[in-house]
Order: sequence, then C-alpha cells, then structure tokens
Amino acid sequence: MNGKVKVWDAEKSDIKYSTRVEGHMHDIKENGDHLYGALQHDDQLTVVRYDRQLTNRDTVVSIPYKTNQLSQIDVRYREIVVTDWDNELIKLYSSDGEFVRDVQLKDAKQPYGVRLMKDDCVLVSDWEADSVTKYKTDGSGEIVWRCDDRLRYPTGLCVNEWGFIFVSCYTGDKIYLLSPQGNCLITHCQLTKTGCVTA
Amino acid sequence: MIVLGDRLPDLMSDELRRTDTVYDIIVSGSHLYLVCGDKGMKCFTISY
Repeated sequence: MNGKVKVWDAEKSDIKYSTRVEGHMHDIKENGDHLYGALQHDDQLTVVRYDRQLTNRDTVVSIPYKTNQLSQIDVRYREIVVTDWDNELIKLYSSDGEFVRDVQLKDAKQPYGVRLMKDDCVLVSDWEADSVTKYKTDGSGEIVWRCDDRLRYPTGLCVNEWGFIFVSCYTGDKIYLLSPQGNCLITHCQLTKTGCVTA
Repeated sequence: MIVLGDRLPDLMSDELRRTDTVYDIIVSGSHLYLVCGDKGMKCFTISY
C-alpha cells in the first residue's frame, strides 16, 4: 500500500508540500523543525523523521509490528512515545531513536492515542476500555475519564495550552472535551455542518 | 468557556460525511481538526 504525506496551509486550504510513502502512515506529530511519522510497512512500524518541507526523510527507529491496528506516536522535546496495541504498553525512545524503555500499562486493554504531558506523565486513550488514563513512567495509571454513553472507541487525544483534553472517537460524530481534572464538559456534541456546541 | 463553532470547509475533500471515521484530533489556534485518514480533515472553529 502506498500513501502520501501532505503538509497543508490551513488558512488557504491548500497543499504546501507532499511526498509519497510506501506503507501506511498511521500518525504524524510535529516537534521543532521536524515531523515524525509512524509508518507501517509489512511487519515493521518505522518512526520516520521529515523536515518541514518533506524533502528529507530518515529512519529514527524500526519496531517489529504484528497487528493491523493503528498506532499513534507523540514527540516532545527529546522523547518519542509509541503505543503498542498488542502488548498493552508504550515504547519510549529518544528523539534520535535510542531505546529508553517499555512501560507496561496496568489495566490497559488496547492503548491507542497518546500524548506526552508536561509533568512527564503520558496520557493514553484506550480503544477497548473506552477511557482516557494518565500513566506514570512506572506504568501505574489513574483513569481521567471513562465514556459512559453509547459512544465507543476513543481515538486521538489533544491537550491545549491550558490543559483541557480533547478526545476524538472513531464513530466520527462526537468529540469530548475534558477539563484538566477529567470532568467532561461536552458530552453529546453532534458535529453537523451547522452544529454549535458550548461548554 | 470553550465554544466549538461552525464547521468550515473540509481539507482535502468537501464530501466527508458525519459518520466518516475519525482517527485523530488536532487543536491549533482557533481551529479544531478531525483527521479522517486519507479522506481528509473536518474543520471547525473554536474559541475561548
């Protein structure tokens, strides 16, 4: 399977840069002058690094990869984290690809989305457990939020500068907005073309 | 208060449906994006 990586000018809704990739690009995060991608090809998940113009690419690390499910990455300063769906853990690397450690996530079922936090904790969405959990580096976790409605399969996570947590869901018709303490501020927001939601 | 506002034109495609699957979420400035794989991104305004 071949795909493309594209950098968009959001204001102009226009493509600035584009490049082809061989494989399935699961996720891309920015960090400083680089873009880091999680690229699956055959039985390898490779963390690749681009410059912002997508003209140069190098391999940071390659990981044996069994599942067909998606894996997300996050990069912050000099640290890379990759979720391992099959083994309920996260893998930590330096930004240059040096292996740091695996962190087994206690009580995790299928970790998916991941965000490195400012306090060195890691925020993980769990596809099967319908939850968002904040893990310490020893793998112990505190559930920040658990979905209690019909919506299932939380996917991506995003944390804004004030610590509010945005959670997307696979079904595509809702998002959740959580306070830094895990209180759900938006529950059933219907994302229609004219929808407007206030928290 | 956080206000999720109007849906803006999609990036890459203007044919995304409400039920298209979402793989990731990005908040950048006054915009919120829902990443729908290679189909594109749904875009919304967001204000504080």
